[in-house]
Amino acid sequence: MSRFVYYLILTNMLAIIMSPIPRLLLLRAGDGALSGMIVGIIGGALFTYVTVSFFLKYPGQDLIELLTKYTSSWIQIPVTLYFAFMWFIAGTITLIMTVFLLITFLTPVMSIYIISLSILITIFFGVLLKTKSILFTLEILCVLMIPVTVLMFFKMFTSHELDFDQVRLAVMHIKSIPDFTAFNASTFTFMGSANLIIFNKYFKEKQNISKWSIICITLASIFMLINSYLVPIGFTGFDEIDQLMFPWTSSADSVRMKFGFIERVVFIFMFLFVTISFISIIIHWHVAYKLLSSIFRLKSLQIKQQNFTPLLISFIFCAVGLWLTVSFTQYQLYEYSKYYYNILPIFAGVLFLTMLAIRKGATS
Amino acid sequence: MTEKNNKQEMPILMKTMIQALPASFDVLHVPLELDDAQAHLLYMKTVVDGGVLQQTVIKPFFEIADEHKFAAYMKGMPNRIDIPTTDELLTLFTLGFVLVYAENAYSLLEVRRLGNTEQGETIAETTIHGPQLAFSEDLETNISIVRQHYHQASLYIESQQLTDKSRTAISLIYDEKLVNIDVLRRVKERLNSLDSPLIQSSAELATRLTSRRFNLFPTSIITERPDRIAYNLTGGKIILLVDNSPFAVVLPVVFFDFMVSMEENYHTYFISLYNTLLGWFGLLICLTLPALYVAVTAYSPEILRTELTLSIAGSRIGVPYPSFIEAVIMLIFVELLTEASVRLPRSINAAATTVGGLILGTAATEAALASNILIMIIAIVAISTFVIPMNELGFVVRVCRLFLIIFTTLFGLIGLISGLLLIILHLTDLDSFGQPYLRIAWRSKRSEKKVSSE
Repeated sequence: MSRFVYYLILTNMLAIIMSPIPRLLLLRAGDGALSGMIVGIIGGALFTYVTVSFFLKYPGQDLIELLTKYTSSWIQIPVTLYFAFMWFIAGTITLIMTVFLLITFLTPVMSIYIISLSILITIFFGVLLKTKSILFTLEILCVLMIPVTVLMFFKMFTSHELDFDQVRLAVMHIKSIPDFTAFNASTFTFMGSANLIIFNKYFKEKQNISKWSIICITLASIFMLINSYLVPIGFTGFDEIDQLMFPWTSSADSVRMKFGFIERVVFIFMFLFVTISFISIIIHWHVAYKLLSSIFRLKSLQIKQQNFTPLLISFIFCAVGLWLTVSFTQYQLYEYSKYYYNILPIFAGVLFLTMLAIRKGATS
Repeated sequence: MTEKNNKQEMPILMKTMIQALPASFDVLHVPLELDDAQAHLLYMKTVVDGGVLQQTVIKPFFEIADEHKFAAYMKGMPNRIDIPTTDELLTLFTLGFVLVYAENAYSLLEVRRLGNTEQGETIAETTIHGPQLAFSEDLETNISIVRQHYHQASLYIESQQLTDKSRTAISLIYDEKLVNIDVLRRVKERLNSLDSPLIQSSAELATRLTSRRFNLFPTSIITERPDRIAYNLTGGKIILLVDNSPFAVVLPVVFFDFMVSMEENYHTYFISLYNTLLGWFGLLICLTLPALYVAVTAYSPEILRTELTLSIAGSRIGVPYPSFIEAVIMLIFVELLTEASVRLPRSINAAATTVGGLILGTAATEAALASNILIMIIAIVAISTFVIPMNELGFVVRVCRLFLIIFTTLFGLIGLISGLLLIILHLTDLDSFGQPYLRIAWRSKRSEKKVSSE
């Protein structure tokens, strides 16, 4: 497997901290979150295996190409539109959550428009880049973020405030019936591999998926889920955890660095996760943009030799993103994103059916 | 009778040439005559090496004293070329060619007066342990220097002339076995499609070679060090040498090439690693520190530890304007100082830096126009700009720094992250002759050693 596939999956895993997932999991802390997560991990690993091994069979081809080659247009257009919608919403959830976190923790007096704009300016250009350039950026950021990530886990797990009794208390509930939302939310951790529907175009060499890579990805996701579920419980206690709006960030705020320039470690983490969410939004919206631009190419926007449809799509993304950001409240965000995660099984079903259709078209 | 007349008359081509050339003082037509033998020379005095002409053409003529034998001697000259078309012939005169007529035959000899063949000391990229001499200003001497540094039969040198008014000779140098064919094709295409009226130096050629017009980051390296050229040739890169210019152009480049100092090859592993890290740290500092100051003082003072925030706030007491104005003023002031010390003659240089740096800095803090901490930051930034190994990148960093300050002024700390990300995105989007500009190449030890893409 190309190293870029790992980056795509890992970024998606790290980005769940900047998504509503930690709170959605912790809301069900008493009933079935942990068992839901365990089922979700198995489901997610299966999802990753199926998706990656499917795309490895068609090196250098993305879903758009495969669809036009092997299926008819009445499958192609609705499927592309549906996927574009799903990816756009995934990016938007990250965007709204990031803005809410920033306004709560970093710059409470700044206008929400300005904060959103500061993110969207970069996203606007990032979405329009070549797919290859996005992968290179992703790699550079991943490498740059490794030291911060290591520092983060080191500080979190060695902190005095981390109370293991509370963690044990949470683990006691492992036997309850798996919760549906928790299952879906933890499956989402693995969904980075689904980005291959566009990024597969770059992976031109024939590659294999080994069982070790699946095991590594699973271990990483278990680690991330523990980090986003058990660590906040360890810091803030099991009973009142559902009262916190941003449970993970609030817990991280209790870690201090005694001798550093920056005393509250949460700001270093903010730096890490804002960067991760930037690249995560860019990846998600880039996929949506590529899918959309495979269908729409407006002739009226053709000025001289350049077509301005990509600019228009990116602009619409940013405008809709801004509008959603300013119109949602935090409660609404959690409510609606829960619906989004709950329709993920449908999404996985559509993806698998499309793969089946493509394979059928390819063999006949 | 007719035969004798013919001999005294000027040959036809000579005549047309003399009419076509302007009547400058340095256009010389020299008829040589001894007994029966006769020859004509036509050349420009100022571009032809008189001594060589005397030794290899005029003296032999009088020694041989036979027209037939002299014509045969001319045909055997190693620097002889065939007569091209009339238009081209005119330009060849300006390059130092001599037209010789003997026994009804024309020969064109290259008796070029060499330019400045002296190798100067390295000025732009100095090292302690590396070679101390830079390139000279003469193309052929430079090619021979490259050959001296890189003894490989596969070293391929292509010469051609620019089509602009300067008609400068340039050389394309690469190792045939290592070069990337795709890049070579692109470079040749660009060279042939150049349409600039006048190109005078290798740096100018390098800027004209890039296809984008509005460019911030250079897509080729300008270097004066022969050892860097040899190092890059091993990496399969293409070198462009330009006549009359002591700098060579290296193509294509990746961003990491700008962070390599040749010194690193001449030290032990850990020392060069330390130096490399120092360079990267310097780059990071001089890019972000002023913007970070603005973000921390104007937007989110709570991210620093309380004591540090208090001392920064304490040092800003009495400063009458917001921190970004303060930072921009001081930064522009330092930029002026750097620019001045580049332009000034060396002897006055020290005075300017002392007056500017020391006296104005102290006065600014005493007059409460800037905080002490800012003065320190600006000084650190100025110093760490000089740590960046390649000058070209240093210039770019100065622009990026201002861009980051503007972004931070508008959006706070998130603006800084956003701006940095925008720069990285722009860098990964760039390409240098088809090769990605910024990417991590894990497979080779140093990015500079390999340009082949995956």
